[in-house]
Amino acid sequence: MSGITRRTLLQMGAQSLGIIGAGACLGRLSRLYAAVPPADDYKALVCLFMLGGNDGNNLVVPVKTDAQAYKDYFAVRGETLGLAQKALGVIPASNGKDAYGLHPQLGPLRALYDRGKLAIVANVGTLVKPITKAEYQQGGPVPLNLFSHSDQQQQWQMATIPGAAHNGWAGRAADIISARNAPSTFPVGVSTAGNSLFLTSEQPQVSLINGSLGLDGSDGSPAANARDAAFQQILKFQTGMSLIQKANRVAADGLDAAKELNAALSLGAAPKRAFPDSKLGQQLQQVAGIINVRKNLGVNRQIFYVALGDFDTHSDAMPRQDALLGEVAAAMSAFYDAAAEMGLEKRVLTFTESEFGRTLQPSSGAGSDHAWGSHHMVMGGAVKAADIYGTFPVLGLQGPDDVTGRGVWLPSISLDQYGATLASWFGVADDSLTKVFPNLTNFTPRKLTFV
Amino acid sequence: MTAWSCVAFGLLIAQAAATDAPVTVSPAKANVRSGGTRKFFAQSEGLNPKIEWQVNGVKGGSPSSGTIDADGTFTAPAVPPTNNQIEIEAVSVANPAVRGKASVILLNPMPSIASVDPPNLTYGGAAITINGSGFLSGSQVQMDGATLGAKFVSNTQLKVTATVGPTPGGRVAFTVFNPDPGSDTSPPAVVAVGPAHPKVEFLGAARFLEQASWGPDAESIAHLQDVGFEAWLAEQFAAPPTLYKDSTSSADNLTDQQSEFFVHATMGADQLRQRIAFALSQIFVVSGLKTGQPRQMVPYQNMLLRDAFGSYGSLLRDVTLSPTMGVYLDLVNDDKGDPKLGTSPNENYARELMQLFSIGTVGLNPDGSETGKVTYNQRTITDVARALTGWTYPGKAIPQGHNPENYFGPMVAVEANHDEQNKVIVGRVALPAGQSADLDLNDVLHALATHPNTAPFISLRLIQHLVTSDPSPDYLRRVSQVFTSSNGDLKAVVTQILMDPEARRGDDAKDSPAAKEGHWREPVLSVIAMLRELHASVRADNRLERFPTNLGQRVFYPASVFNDYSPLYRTSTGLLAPEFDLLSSGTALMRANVVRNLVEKGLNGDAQFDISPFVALAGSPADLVDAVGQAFLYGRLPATLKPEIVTAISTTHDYNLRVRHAIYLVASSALYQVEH
Repeated sequence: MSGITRRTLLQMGAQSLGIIGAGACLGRLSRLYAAVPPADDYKALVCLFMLGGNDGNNLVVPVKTDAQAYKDYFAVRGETLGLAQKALGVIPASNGKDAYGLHPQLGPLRALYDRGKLAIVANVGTLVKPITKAEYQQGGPVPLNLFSHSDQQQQWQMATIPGAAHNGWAGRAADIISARNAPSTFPVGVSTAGNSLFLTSEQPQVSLINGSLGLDGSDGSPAANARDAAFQQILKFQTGMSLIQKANRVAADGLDAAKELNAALSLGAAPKRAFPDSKLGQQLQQVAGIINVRKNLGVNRQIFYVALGDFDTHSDAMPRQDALLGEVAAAMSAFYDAAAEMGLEKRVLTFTESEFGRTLQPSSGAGSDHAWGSHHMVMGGAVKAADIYGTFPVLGLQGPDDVTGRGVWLPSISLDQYGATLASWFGVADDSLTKVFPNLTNFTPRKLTFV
Repeated sequence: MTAWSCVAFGLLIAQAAATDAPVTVSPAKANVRSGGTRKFFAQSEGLNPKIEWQVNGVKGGSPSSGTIDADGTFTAPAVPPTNNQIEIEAVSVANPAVRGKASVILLNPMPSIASVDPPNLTYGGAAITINGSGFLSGSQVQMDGATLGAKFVSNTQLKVTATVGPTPGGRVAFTVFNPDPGSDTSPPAVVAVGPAHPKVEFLGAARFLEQASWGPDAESIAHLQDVGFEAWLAEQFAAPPTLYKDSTSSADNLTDQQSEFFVHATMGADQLRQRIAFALSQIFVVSGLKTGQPRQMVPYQNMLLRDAFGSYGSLLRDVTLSPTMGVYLDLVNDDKGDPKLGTSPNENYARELMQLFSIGTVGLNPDGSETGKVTYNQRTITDVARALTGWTYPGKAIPQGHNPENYFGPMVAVEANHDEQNKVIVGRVALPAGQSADLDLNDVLHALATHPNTAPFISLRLIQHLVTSDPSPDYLRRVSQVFTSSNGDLKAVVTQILMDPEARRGDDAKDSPAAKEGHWREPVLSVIAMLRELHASVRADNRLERFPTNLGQRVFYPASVFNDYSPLYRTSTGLLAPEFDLLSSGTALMRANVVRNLVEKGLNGDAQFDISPFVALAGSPADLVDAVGQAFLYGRLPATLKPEIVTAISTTHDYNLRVRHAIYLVASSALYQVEH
C-alpha cells in the first residue's frame, strides 16, 4: 500500500506491540522479517466469519447474465435496499459471458478479482442433503432451525450431524492434520475473536486478547517466582468437579501455548505491511504476525478464525453494510498483501462464512430479514480463476429458488461442499473428508473447483 | 543487644590490673530485657585485684533493680523499675576507690500469648482473657492491629473487653504490645469469630449469597446467619430499587451508567434485585452497540430493575413496548407491508421474542427435556410479525404516521400502520381480522406467557445465572411448576430457585458436591464478587467495565441479542456450561491478570479495600492462608493445596506481599472462579 505516512507506520507499530513483544522496535521489523525464507510446506486457512448474516444479495449483483439482469434485482429491492447500477464494480464471469457487480465498498477486492486472486462462490448454505423447493415446502429434511442466528452460526462452524460431539469442522480438520506440525505442539487453531466453536476439537486452540496471550510479567523475585510456581501447581489440582477441571485445563493449555508463542514472537516481528485501524484490520494483522513466525513455532499447518459482527441488518441496512463491507475489503486486501510479502500468497487461503443470507425483499425499517443461501468469497493465490462458482439464484419473489416468497434462496451448494474444498486444499485426504464433513456423502461433487 | 556489645563481648578477657590502676567494665553500655541475663567483665591495667560487683551501689544487686553474681552475670528484674537506667560497678575489694562501671538500660519483657479465652468469639462485646508471659501493667492488647487497652492481672494474664464484628476471613488476630523501653509486639494468636446463635452455618450463608447477591462479604454473611434465609429474602424483596440517574443525553456513550452499574452492584443494598435485573438484561437483551445513548439505556435498565420482582407477563409486555427494545429489534415504526415500496413487516422482534424471550425453538417438558416438536415455523414468524405492527414512539395518540423519537414510557399504537388481516400465531391460536394493535399484542403475549415452554425456558436461564449451569431435570421441573402455578411471579420463581434442595446441597461442608455442580463466574460477576469478598468500595467515576470487557463481557454492550454467551453452550464433554462460551486460553490467563491487578493496583485504583485484617495474620502464613481460604472459599480450601500456598508466600517477609500473593493464588484458582 503506497502513501503510508511515517506517522501511520508508527501508529501501526504501537498497535502491534502486543503481538511483537515488548522487546521489538520498529527498526528491527524489516530486517527480521526479510530474514524469513519462503516456507516449504506451509498452508494456512483463514476463516472470516461475518456474524449476523451478511446480505449476500448486495455483495454481488447480476448485471447482465444469461438468466437475468440488474432490473430483476432492482425490481424487488427498489430504492430502499437496491444498489445503484452505476455504483457497482463490474466483474466478468463465465469467461466473460456474464457480468456481475460487486458492492461499491469492495473496490480493493475487485482489484484482487481482476488479478485472479478472488473467487465468488454463489448461493452456499446449510443443507442436510440436496433438496428441491417442492420437497422443502412439504417439510423435507433441512438443518434444525434455519433462519435462527445461534443455530445457523453453530452449523456453519460445526457442520455437524445430530448427536455428534460438540466440536467445529476446522477443529476436526486440525485433529487430522496436526501430525504434520510434529514435533511442534503449538495448537493448529488460533482465534482472534474469543473462544471459537469453529476451532473446537480434541486439541486446545489459542485465543488472543488484543493480540496477546499470557500472564502479566513478573519482577523475577524469589517471591514472585514462588507465586507463579504455586499458580501452576494449583492448575494441576484434581477436585473431581467437572467445571473446575475444565477451567484448569484451558488455563494450563493457555500457559503452554503462551510460552511458545511469546518465545516465537520475541524472535520474529510483525510484517511491515500496514493494516487498517479497524477491528478486522487488527485481527488480520495479528494473524499475519503469527504466520510470520511460523518457523519459530515450527508449524506447517494453521487455521485462523477472525470475526466481525453487526451484519444483522434488519434496519438501516444500506449505510451499515457500506461500513461493514468497507472494513472487510480494506482488511482482507491488506492481509493478502501481507501474505504476498511473506512469499505465501499461494499458501494462505482466506474465506468468508456467515450464518445465512438475507431476504431479497426489504422489511419495514429499510432492512431485510433472515434468509438462507448466500454468496461467499475465497481469497488467495491458490484460487484457480476469478469467477462466480456455482449457480446464481434467480432473483425474484416466488421464483424457482425462493422458498418463502420473500426472496429466501434454496442453497445450490452446501456448506459441506464449500468447506470440503477448502479442507482438501489444506491437506485433508479425500478419504478423511467425511470425518470433517459427515454430511458430505449426500452431495455430488464432493469438492468444487475454485481452488 | 547492640552491635557494639556483641563485638566487645568476644574480645575482652578479665585480667589482673595494677593495684591502683582504674578498672574498666565491659561492655560499658548494654540493654537487658526483663528476666534476661548478661555477663560483664572487669579489666585493669595493673595487677588483677579481687573484684566485688554492685548494682546501683548495692553489692550483688537487689530484686527491684536486678542481681549480679560473683562472676559478673547480671540478671534483670521481671519488671523494670521506674528508673530503668542502672549502673553496674566492679569495685576492688582491697581498695574501694578503684572501681569501674557500666551503664545498663533495662528493657520491658517480650510479650507472648499462650491462649485466648474464650477460644472462639461471637459478634458483639466480649470479656476476653489473654494468657501468656511477659505482660506488664503497661501492656496493651491489640485486635487486628487496633489497640483495645488492657487490664493487667499478672505477668501471665491480661483482661480486655472487645467488640468483635464480621471480618474478612472470619478470624481476628490478638497481639500484646509492650511499651518502651524495648517496645515489642507478641506473635499473633488467631481466634475465629462468628455469630452467637446462627440460623445458617457460615458456608451455607456464603453459598446462598454467591447465588442471591453480587457476592458475600463478612458483614452480609453475618447478617444472613443472624436472620436466616426467609427473612433475608423478605428484606431484599422489600428493598427499594437503586436506579440509574435519569438522563436525556443522546451522546453515544454509556460511561456514566457503566460506572453506576459497578457502584450499585458492589455497594447497593438491593443486592438481589440488582442481580436479578442483570440476569434479565442477559435474557431480554438490548445492546449499546445499537441503543448506546443514555436516554435509551437508562429507561430500559431501570425498567428491568423495577420489574425484577414482578410477573413475567408484565415484564414481557414492558420489554415489548419499550422504545429502546423497539429500536434495538426494529419494532418501533414497524408498519404493515407496503405494496408500493414492496416491503414486508420486520421479522426481527417477532423472531427473537419467541426464540429468546419466551419459548425457544423446540418443545420442552417442564423438566427441560425436549418433546421433539418444533414450536413455530417461518410462517408463524411472519404472522406474529404482522400482529406486532403499528407501534411508534411514546407520545401523542396519532391516527397515522410516526411519533418523534422519545424513550420515555411505552410505545403507542397507530392503527393505520397495523396489519388488520387475520393471523395464526404460536400454538395455532387464530387472531381474527380487524383486531387493534393492542388486542393483537395482548393475544401474542398471552399465548407466549402461558405456553408450556415458557416456564422451563425462563426457569432454566434464571437457574443458570444464579445457581448452576446444568441443573438436574428434577430441579428444573420444581422451578417450572412454581413458575406455572404462580403465573410467572418472579419473586416465587427466584425463591424456589434459591431455596431448592439442589441449590442448598453443598451448604454442609461434609457433603461432597456433585461433579457437574456450579457455574463459572461470568466476567462481570467475577470482578464484582472479588471486590465484595474484600469489602471494597469503588470510585463513583470508576472505569471498572474495562476488566470484564477484556474477559469477553462488556457491560451494556452484549455482542448481539444472543448475549455474549449462550445458555445452551456445552463443553466438549456435553455439559451445559453457558459461561464457558467465554472461556478461552486468552481469557483464562487474562482472568488471572485481572486478579493480579486487583491485589496489586486495586483495579487501576478504582477499588479501595483494607487488607490489614489479613496483614495482621501474615506473621503466621498458615493462619493467613486459612483466613484467605475462609474469605474466598468459605473454609473449602483443600488441605493438599494449603501447603503449596503457605510455601509460596513464606518466601517473602513482606507481610503485605504475603497477603497479596495469598489472595491472588486463591482468587485466581478455578476453585474460586467456579462458583459451587
